[in-house]
Formats: sequence, structure tokens, C-alpha cells
Amino acid sequence: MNRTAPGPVPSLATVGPPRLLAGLDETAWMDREAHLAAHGPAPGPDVDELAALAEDIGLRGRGGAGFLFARKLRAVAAAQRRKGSSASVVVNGSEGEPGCLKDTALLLYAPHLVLDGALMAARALGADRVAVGVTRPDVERSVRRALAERGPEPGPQADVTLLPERFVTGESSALVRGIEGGPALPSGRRVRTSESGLGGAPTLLSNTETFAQLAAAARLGATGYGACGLPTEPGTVMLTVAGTHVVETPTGVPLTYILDLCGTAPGQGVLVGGYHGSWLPPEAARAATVSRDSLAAAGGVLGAGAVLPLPETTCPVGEVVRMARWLAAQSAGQCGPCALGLPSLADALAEAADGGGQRALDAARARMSAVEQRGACGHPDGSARFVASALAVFADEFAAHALGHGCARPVLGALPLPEGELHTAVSGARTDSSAQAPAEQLLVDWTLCRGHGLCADLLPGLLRLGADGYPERAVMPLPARMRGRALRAVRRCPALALRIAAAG
Amino acid sequence: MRPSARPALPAAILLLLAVAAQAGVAERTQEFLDFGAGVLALVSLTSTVLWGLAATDRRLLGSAHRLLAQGVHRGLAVAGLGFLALHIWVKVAEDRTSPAAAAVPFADNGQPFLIGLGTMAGYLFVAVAVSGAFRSAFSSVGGSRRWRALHMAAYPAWGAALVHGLHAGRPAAGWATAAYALCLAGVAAALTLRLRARLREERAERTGAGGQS
Repeated sequence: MNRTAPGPVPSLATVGPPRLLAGLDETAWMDREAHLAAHGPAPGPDVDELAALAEDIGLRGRGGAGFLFARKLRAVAAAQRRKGSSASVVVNGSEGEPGCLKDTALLLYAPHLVLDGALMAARALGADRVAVGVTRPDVERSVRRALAERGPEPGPQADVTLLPERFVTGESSALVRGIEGGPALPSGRRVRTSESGLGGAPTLLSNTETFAQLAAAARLGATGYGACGLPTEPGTVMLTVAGTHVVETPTGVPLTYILDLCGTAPGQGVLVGGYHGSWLPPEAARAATVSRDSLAAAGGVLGAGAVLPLPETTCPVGEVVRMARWLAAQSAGQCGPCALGLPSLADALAEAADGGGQRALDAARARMSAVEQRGACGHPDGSARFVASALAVFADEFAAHALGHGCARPVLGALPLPEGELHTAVSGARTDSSAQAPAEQLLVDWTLCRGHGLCADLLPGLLRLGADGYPERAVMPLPARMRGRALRAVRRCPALALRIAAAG
Repeated sequence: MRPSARPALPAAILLLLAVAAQAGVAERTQEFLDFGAGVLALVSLTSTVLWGLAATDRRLLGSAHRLLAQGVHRGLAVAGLGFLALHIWVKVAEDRTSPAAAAVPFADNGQPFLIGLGTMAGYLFVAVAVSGAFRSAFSSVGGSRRWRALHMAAYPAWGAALVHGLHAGRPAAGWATAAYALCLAGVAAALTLRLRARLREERAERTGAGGQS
């Protein structure tokens, strides 16, 4: 990395008594002593107790996808029993999302709490390794310092790896590959990390805040943990407001209260869930509270807790174009539809912004749907979601710009643009939904596919090519009668990018 | 349309008949097989290499043509290996070389180097053919790279086969040598172009990635 500064430094705030951030009002870095004084010693629950606790407090992954932690933990335990192998725990500290700093803040100021949670999970699983993947040198130093303080302990060994800082690094398979010393890029294989992760062993991979919440919950118990926040979503969440303020708040607090606290307002709209998230119009933002349900009802997502208000003084269309360009540049370039599609989407948006008329807007919509579900990770989908919600919330602005009126406001770059975040276990979720009638499916590995298109000739009924020459979908249910022909397509694919796998 | 090895088989048979007729197979089958099998093996395997290379082109050929080319490539490969087996059997049966020398490279008494090249080429071609037959087993990230490396062994095998075929037996006719040289030049040119395109792509990727990290 060429950058000299390790990245923006988060400023901390809490609503109500701090929980994860406890003790940080008195010291800048929670050393082992301060950590134990603030939180007490870490309990040692077994895997069933830990899963039950996570279930009772409804703990979900705090990296964006919001997968139920208890289910993930049980899946790893089950895979471990089935394979008779050891397991690993991976802490995702690669906060790729520019609008997010909360994981950075936790690892930077309270690394012991995160390590407690990860080591607790590792001991419960009988895992032998805890790997922390980070993307900032200052974060790496903080974790190393915490590990050195702990000294050699019996049980699972923890280590930290510095990975390249880019948007897709946080995707689970990219993170695992990076920690193993390979390229930190999403793999085209749709294998769940809980099944086969670090070194092929079942791996519990979760986000930094998730482990910190787990460590806090294990000490408080389910009842104590639920003492603040909503009954449906107990406890606190970590938000990042305007890309610099990290706020720990109980759920249920009005979003405007948090914005006020950070000296800002909904403005023209609030982007929630980061750059793979969606825009809330100002009135929806004023009515929303900090909770998954409330934000979902307003058409947003809590995601990784990024809250990015757009000030009145900047041109929303220009900001969206700027973001779309950045998202396009963040493509790892592995998968054709994403590597070609996102830049062309950004071009269409830029053209619309420069008075390209309805035609340019239509082109942007077409290119937006052309990238959906067509990558090894969720980056194309998340980017399309961002653009779709921008086109909906700023519909009038886009229409005015497309017709050549513009808004005469400058593009201030109000949305922070260092680096991006994870969008997580999309692959796992998607294979679930496609596990229907046929026992097998035909899979496209986007990282290998070069759009030769021979498969479409061999499988006319099953596989169609998109306008860009790549298959339209990556997962196709494979009826038994088509198997012979599908196998022929697998053999004939010049790039060996097709594969037949059991469904589910 | 279901392209397969079918167009290749009649082509191979026609080729066999043509060469056979010219050689006067009616009189002396044995004499014909003595050199004909080897010639046919070399011609088939050379064509296999050419058709295989042609099937990878995406500038001139549409996907249907490429599938057809793949079919011809596979059919010729099967025919070539068949002729190769016949060639080895005839040579051993005629006592031109010992079974041991046919199996172990560079063990022939008379022409250890030239016969050895043929043996080496034979093994490589069989390995390449197996990799082609079980191609679907390589459909994974590392697998595609492994398969490519394995299948690439066809080029050294072909080179060795050419040296063996043109020098180990009867002196080759001038036009035959010229035709093979033309094939060799064509393949070399195609491979160079491909390598250059690959390098250019990689360089573009590197500078693209370097620009934003």
C-alpha cells in the first residue's frame, strides 16, 4: 500500500451507558488491565450454551448480511462433527466500506473485547486457531499489542494478518484466501466458510463487532444484555455516522437523534447500510429508528451500521455518479459482468447527469439489472442496489439532470471515499434458495468465465447469454434429462468455468 | 446441432484410403503398414494440434464453428492414437525395434535418439489424450490451470514426433518436410500471438490494480 496515513481516525460517542466502548472515557487504549476492570473476566461457555445465548439475544452478524450467529455457530459445530476435523475462527476486521469505521474503532481501542469473543467461540468449538484479518497497519499494531499482552495461553492460538485494503477483501472467501497467504479475492466456488474455510477446516467467520457483542453478552447474560434496546432486537449497535463518528447506541433510538448528536441532519437523504445499502428519503429518515425492522420498513438496511447523510449543499446526482465510479473501480476484475458492467453503468449514469436524456437513464437501468447475481461475490448486486435506490430517491434530480437542467450545486464529495466493506456470505444464502426440485445444478465460476459462449450453443434450453456475452445466471437447476448435455458443456467450455454440483 | 467426433471419422477413413491407394495397398499390406501407419499417425496428430489450436480462436470463428472444430480435434486425436498403436505394433512385429526399446526411451540399439523421441512423444500424447478425455474433472480454479499445463504437453510431444517421423525412417519427401515446416511455423505464430495477448492483458491488470491500492 502506498498510503502514508492509515486512514481516518474514528471519534467515539455513546448513547446511554457504553457497553462495547466501556472504559474508553478514561483511557485511549484498553490494555488488558483496563479491559478486565471494565468488563470482568471472560466466562467459558460450551458450544451449546454459547449458541443458546446467541439465540436468546438474537445476535446477528454485524458485517452487513445479518446472518444469525447461533445458526452459523451450530453449522460449524455440525460440520466439525461430520468431518471429524478441527475448526478455526476468523475475525473479519477488514472494514472495506468507506462509510464504516466501527470495526476499526473496536480493534483500534478495545481489541481485548474482540479477542475475548473470538477466543471464547474458539474454545467452545475446540478450535485451534483464531485468525484476525485487518486492512489497516495501525489496527494490526493494536491487535498485535493486545496479543502480546495476553502472552502465551493454553488453547487456541490467535494471530493477525494484514490484508490489502479494498472493497472485496471483506468477502468471506476473499478474507480466508488472504489469511492463507493467497490473493485476497473472492473465490468463484460457492462453498460456505462454515463447511470449508481456513485450511479447508470448518470455520466460524464473523465480523469484529459480532465477536465483541458476544464477549459482552457472555458476561451480562441474556437478561442483562436485553436491559437496553428493543425487546425484538436487544442490546446496542455500533453505527458510523458520516464516515467519522462511531456511535454505540441501544436499538430503538430515533435516527435523527443520532444525527443530531453528531452535528448533522438528514439533509437530502440518508444512505444507510453503506455503499451496498440504500437511500432513505429525508422524511423516511426522520421517522426511522435504529433497528433492523424500522430501517427495513423504511426501505433501507442496517447492514454494517453506516449512516451517511447527504447535505443540502451538494448535488446528489454528482455524488451518486462519483460513488458509482468508485464502486466500478473496486471490482476485483475477476468476473466479466462486474468488471465490464459496473464501469459501463457508471458511464451511463454520468451521461444522464450531463443531460443525456431519458435514453441515458434507461441505459443505466438496463446495465444495472445486467450485473445482478453475476459475480463471485455480492459486489455487483450491492452496487446495483445502491444505484437502484439512488435512482428512486433522487428520481426528480436525475430527471432534471438528464433533461439538461441540472441543479447548479457543486459536487462536494460529501460521501467519504477511502475504502469499502463486506457484503458477506451472499453465496451461502443464494445456494440455499436455489436448492429446489432438481438434485443437481450447473454452476458458472465467474472468475474463470471469459464469455466464450459455447455453452449457450450446447444447452439452448438451460443457459442463455446476456447482452455482454456472459451467461445470464450463475446457478441453474439441472434436470436429470439435461445432465448428459450439461456434462458435454462442462467438457467443452474453453475456460473450464462450468461445473455440475449437488444442489443445496 | 450436436457437433461431435462424427465428421472426423469419415475424414480419417478417407485419408487412410487415399494414402493406401497411392501406396498400392492391394499388393503389400505389410509393406504399406510399415511406413503408412507412422505417416498416418503423424498426419493425424499434426492435424489434431492444428484443429485444437483453431478451436480456441474467437476472432474468426463463431461458437458453432468452434464446437465443430473441437469435435474434429477430438476425432483426429482418437484416430491418431489408433494409428500410433498400429505403427508401434507393426514396427515391433517386423523386428525393426525391440519391445523394450519401444517402451523405454533411448534404449534402441540402432537409433537410440530418434526412436527414443518417438517413444517420448507417444507417452506424452497418451497423457495429453487422457487429460482431454477427463477434462470435466478439471473444472475448478486451480484445475483449469493444471489442465492447461498438462494439455500443453502436446506441443513438445508434437515437436518430438516430427523429428522422429521425418528422420527415423525413410527420407521424407521435400514437399512433406515443407508442409510440416509450414504447420510448425503456423503453430508457433499462433502461440506467440496468444502469449503476447496474455502478457498485454496481465500488464493492463497490474497497472489497473496498482492505480488504486
